[in-house]
Amino acid sequence: MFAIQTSNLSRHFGTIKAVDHLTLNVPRGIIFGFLGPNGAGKTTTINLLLGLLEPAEGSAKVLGFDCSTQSDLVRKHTGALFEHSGLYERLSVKDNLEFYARIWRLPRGLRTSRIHQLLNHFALWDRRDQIASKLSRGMQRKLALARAFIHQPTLVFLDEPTSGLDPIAAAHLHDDLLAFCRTEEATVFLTTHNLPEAEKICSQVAVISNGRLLTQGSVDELCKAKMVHQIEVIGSDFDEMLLSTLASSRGVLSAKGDRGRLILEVDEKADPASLSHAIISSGGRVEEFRRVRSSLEDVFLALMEGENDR
Amino acid sequence: MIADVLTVMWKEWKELYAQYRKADLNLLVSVLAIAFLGVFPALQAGERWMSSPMVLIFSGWVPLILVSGVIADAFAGERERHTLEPLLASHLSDTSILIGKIASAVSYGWGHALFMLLIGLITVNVIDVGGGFLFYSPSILLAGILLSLLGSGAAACAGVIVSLRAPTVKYAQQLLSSASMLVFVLLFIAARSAPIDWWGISSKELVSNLIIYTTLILALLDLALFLIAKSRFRREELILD
Repeated sequence: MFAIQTSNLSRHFGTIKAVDHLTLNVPRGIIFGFLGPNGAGKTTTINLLLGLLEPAEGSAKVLGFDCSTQSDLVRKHTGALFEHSGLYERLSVKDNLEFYARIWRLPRGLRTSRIHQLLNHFALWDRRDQIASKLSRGMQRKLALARAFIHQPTLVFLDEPTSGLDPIAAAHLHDDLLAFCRTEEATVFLTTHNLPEAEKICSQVAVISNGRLLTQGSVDELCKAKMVHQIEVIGSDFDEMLLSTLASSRGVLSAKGDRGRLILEVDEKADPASLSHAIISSGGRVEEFRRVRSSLEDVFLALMEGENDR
Repeated sequence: MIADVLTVMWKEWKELYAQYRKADLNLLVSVLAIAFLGVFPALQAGERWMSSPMVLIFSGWVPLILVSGVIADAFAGERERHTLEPLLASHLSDTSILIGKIASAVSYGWGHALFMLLIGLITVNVIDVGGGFLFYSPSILLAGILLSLLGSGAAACAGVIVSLRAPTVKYAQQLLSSASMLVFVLLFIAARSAPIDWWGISSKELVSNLIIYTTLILALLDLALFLIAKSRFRREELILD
């Protein structure tokens, strides 16, 4: 059973198609990355899935509940962290969680223990009486994340969770999120345009642009399907003559580079051993010779280039 | 739903208390204003304060001023601070959020109005030390309690209607304080032009009629404003705003 299923889901704002016939299946129990550039329709999709916006066309089910007719049930079983942390800055760290624990009607005993557990997990227990505005941005993000998980939801929507965080704070948040999702066995629907982040923590991703779904699958599948075959050579004494020799070698589609680094785009016919031999015979010195694996970023950029060409 | 309303009220009160704690001056101004409005008219009227319909004008107007000060923040403030999205994404019903916001503002305005009645009572008894203990006439006391409640309700509902669509808290505050002043001026003009000696009014029938009609008008106004506020509360529009 899927945690999220959408069928031709669409929403327009005037002439702008924010979400355009989106058909998506998100399996349960995974961290699902929903990727796209700014303005691609990621946040609108979350708002549609939470039943906060009405679709113009199509339908969506979250945890088996219809997002249009059973939006209260959808919201009851899900948690959400939006682009802005949305903390009550005049209230203490503990009171921010207490409010949402009361909203989800956690009994008093459970409320106390859950708040304790979450604040401990996110290393905020010592700051429980501090007002939220005094926390660093990273800590505020952690508190907002704790708030999204307060009622042990089956599914959590995270909209750009590391937006505006420095790399260290973002890395800590990733680790916390991964550890926490493992413990809670929740499905996470995460939107981001931070591709290394998605590659690190998501088991499946979908790419959206201009409201349209461009692709969906596991990170490995997408990287293999959109594989860019490249060989990177690090060394010295690479010159123009060497570049033209390599460019005319069997299986080499193009050869680019400077005196210290070469990038060869190759097809299946290319033989790495003969290529390295050709470099050495032409007077080049090789320190490192390796096949380059496509990253999610390469896949994403290739998709966006294709989209721009349309 | 009651539990949800109480939850929203709990948060609103916590925020209000935190705001006052942060700025002690706010608390001081509030206490001084109430003390002034409770002490000054009672000093002027003396023992007539206990049975004068003027008490009712103050009971209705004081919460109007106070409530419009806090209710402006209800939705415009949540929108400005980006706390509205997570609140709307929770499973709280529209009605619970709306009633919770209105009820916390009403309790704030009503509490202050009752405090003002108490201050007036103490003032009159202090200046009339030798004359035995004076207390509000039953009809004035009942009407004071009821009208300040209904006045707070009207101000809170009107404030929510403005706050729901106001682009900023400041805009909502300016609009509401202007409206409160306008209500005060209209009340003042109406009171001055009526051929009645408000301090010395003695006809019990006139007082009773005034109370009954004012209560009825305010109750209907409260209901109408609440229904308008409820019809304007749309999650989709709040998210898109």
